[in-house]
Amino acid sequence: MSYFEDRDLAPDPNDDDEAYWANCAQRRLTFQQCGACKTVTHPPISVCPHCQSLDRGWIEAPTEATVFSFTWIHSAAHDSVTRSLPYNVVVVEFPSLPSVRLISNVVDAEPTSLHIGDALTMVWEDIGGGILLPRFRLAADSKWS
Amino acid sequence: MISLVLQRYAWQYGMEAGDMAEIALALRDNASRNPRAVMHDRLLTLETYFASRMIAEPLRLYDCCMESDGACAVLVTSAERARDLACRPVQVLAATGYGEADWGVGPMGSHNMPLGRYTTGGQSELARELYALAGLSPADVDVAQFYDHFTGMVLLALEDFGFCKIGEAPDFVRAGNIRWGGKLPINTAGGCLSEAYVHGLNNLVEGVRQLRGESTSQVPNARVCLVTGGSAISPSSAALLGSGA
Ligand SMILES: [Zn+2]
Repeated sequence: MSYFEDRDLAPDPNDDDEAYWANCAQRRLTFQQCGACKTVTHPPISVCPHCQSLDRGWIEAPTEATVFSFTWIHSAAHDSVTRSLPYNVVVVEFPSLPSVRLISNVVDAEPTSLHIGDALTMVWEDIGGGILLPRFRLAADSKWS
Repeated sequence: MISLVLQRYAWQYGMEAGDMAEIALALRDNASRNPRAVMHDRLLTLETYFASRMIAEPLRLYDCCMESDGACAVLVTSAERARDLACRPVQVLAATGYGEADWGVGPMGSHNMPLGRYTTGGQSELARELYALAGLSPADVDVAQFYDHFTGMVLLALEDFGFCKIGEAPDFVRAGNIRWGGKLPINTAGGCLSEAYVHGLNNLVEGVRQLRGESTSQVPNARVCLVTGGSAISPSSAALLGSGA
């Protein structure tokens, strides 16, 4: 079961983010940390955008997450999302890690139940093909807790 | 990406849907006087605006620029050569292109921008440089043509280019300032939202018309016009044009 039904939207791991997706497959959400200046960044990139160091390490993402911003999409820009309308796109922030925000979706939320500042819990969605996606649910959503 | 920025801006500063509607309505009103505008005789009311379909909250159909075919051109030459041209020349007081570091990663990573930068169009440093080059300030600008891919981004451009403080653009437009006859008329040909989407070059052409006194929504005695390039992307650009008079 996936937030979007169509497998066309699956990520295609390549050089910079292969390790990221491999960690996701192990149900570990990780972000890159620069070995030189220690800045944590996302999405994965082969060079630190702050100090240009090539020393790239990984840290576990914080578990505490909230809604920084969100939108409900009502117009399908691609056939594969037509059946999912309206769907949400959420910018997730981690209060203990201000340099990284993550784009994701809040599963099972209704347009009236999603607000900036809402607490979130991460859930893994296995979409097949060895790909697991980090998605979120409202922490107070009784259907899930 | 734009809807996410605007949603956060609305939450942070109290922007209401009607504030974005005011941009759409003001520009459509300008287009109604411009026979070249695609939306020349297409009336837009607040009711029509709110009845239009949602695209990506908070953006409705009329918050998004059109898709249209069109062409325009500008001829740039030295002041000396321009002197005896058949058309009245307009002076480029300053023009600058600029990329702000936090915007360099573009839509794929821009959600990681620092908090203070997230709810902007990313043009404030560009604006500072532009005014410094021209030796002018926002108070010197008689009329402005903002890049208008989405209504809400025009609000953010009003702040980036110093016409109001951060978070005050909704109040600024509610007071009627951007209307023809207001304190700072904007996108006087209708802009990309209602004249045509010619990637903002049509806004530059309208800036020239204003300073020649040839606009269909002419601002009396317009001497300085601001024209801005695309916001929420890096690099961006902007120019200050002068009537030379
Ligand atoms: Zn670094």
